[in-house]
Amino acid sequence: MTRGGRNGRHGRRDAGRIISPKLAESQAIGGIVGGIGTALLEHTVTDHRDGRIVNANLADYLVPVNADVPDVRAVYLDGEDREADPLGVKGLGEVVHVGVAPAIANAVFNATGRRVRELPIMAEALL
Amino acid sequence: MHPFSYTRVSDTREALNAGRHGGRYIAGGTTLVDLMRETIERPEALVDISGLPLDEVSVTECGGLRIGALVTTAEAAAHPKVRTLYPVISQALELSASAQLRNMATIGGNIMQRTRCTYFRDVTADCNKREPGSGCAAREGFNRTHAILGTSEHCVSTHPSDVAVAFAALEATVHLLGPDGRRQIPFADFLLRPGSTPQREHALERGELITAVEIPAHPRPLRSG
Repeated sequence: MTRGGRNGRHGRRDAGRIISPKLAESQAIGGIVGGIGTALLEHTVTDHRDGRIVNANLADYLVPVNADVPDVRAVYLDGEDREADPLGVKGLGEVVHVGVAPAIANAVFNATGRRVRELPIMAEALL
Repeated sequence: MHPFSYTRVSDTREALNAGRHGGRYIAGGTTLVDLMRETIERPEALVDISGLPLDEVSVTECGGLRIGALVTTAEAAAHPKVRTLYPVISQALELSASAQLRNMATIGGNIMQRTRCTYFRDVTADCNKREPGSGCAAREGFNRTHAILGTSEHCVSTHPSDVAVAFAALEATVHLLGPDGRRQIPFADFLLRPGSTPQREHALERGELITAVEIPAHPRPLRSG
């Protein structure tokens, strides 16, 4: 799925036959960026007294910006999946987003020994 | 947004005159316009001071630095003297907002920003800073990023400026010009603690204009670590 290493971060996907490499690339990289948001930033905060959303604006609801995103690369497993579809293709939609937060949580576990099971992962979860 | 008048002034005398009659100064507008859109700020009259000659960075006689109130935060951050003498200022400014905002926002406006407390910016919530006496929704509500030190039972909000922390640490002075002439106050006294009057955030008198922030000469090394 996603891993960091000396050569930057790779998102690795089994997407079957890639029909449009440019489109797949932007989708896959977008998924990694979105996943960084899920893992570390995005949080809808409700006021526990009345249920109102207290960060209902883009100044307080944080999404990743360029400065938050390292070099990322998308790579695909070889092969076509004729079982899934006669064209050999598979979906490459939201799935690109899904593995990123667990990968980052695993990295946090690897670095700190702490299993964080709530997203986003905030500093106080590691105190 | 509430209706308001708009006047562009070309010298400080004209600005002070408009300010004395209740006009609110506006330069980059990156914070005041936001607050007006949210109806948190409802000035009757805006006085555009962006044409005043307060946009220079100069070395003072004592070897400090004087940053004009209308120097944009982008210009201040990139200024060679700021970078070499006070890298903390460049770093604080470059952590702030986005490049587009830094190109518009001024040093004077930066320290006049109002808190990002979510309840201050929600006109339906209780907030002693916005509506004195209404209470503080943040004390029992969402306050993860609120203040720990310098709070009161009336307000636990923080000032949103990054560079304000640098100015306080560097013992900067704020230069003011008012109807009664010029005065200077230490930066640490410019921003007020909330106490029982959280609606009062700074030491500016009515109609006073910030002309510059002056940072005294500091011996190297400049890093604390």
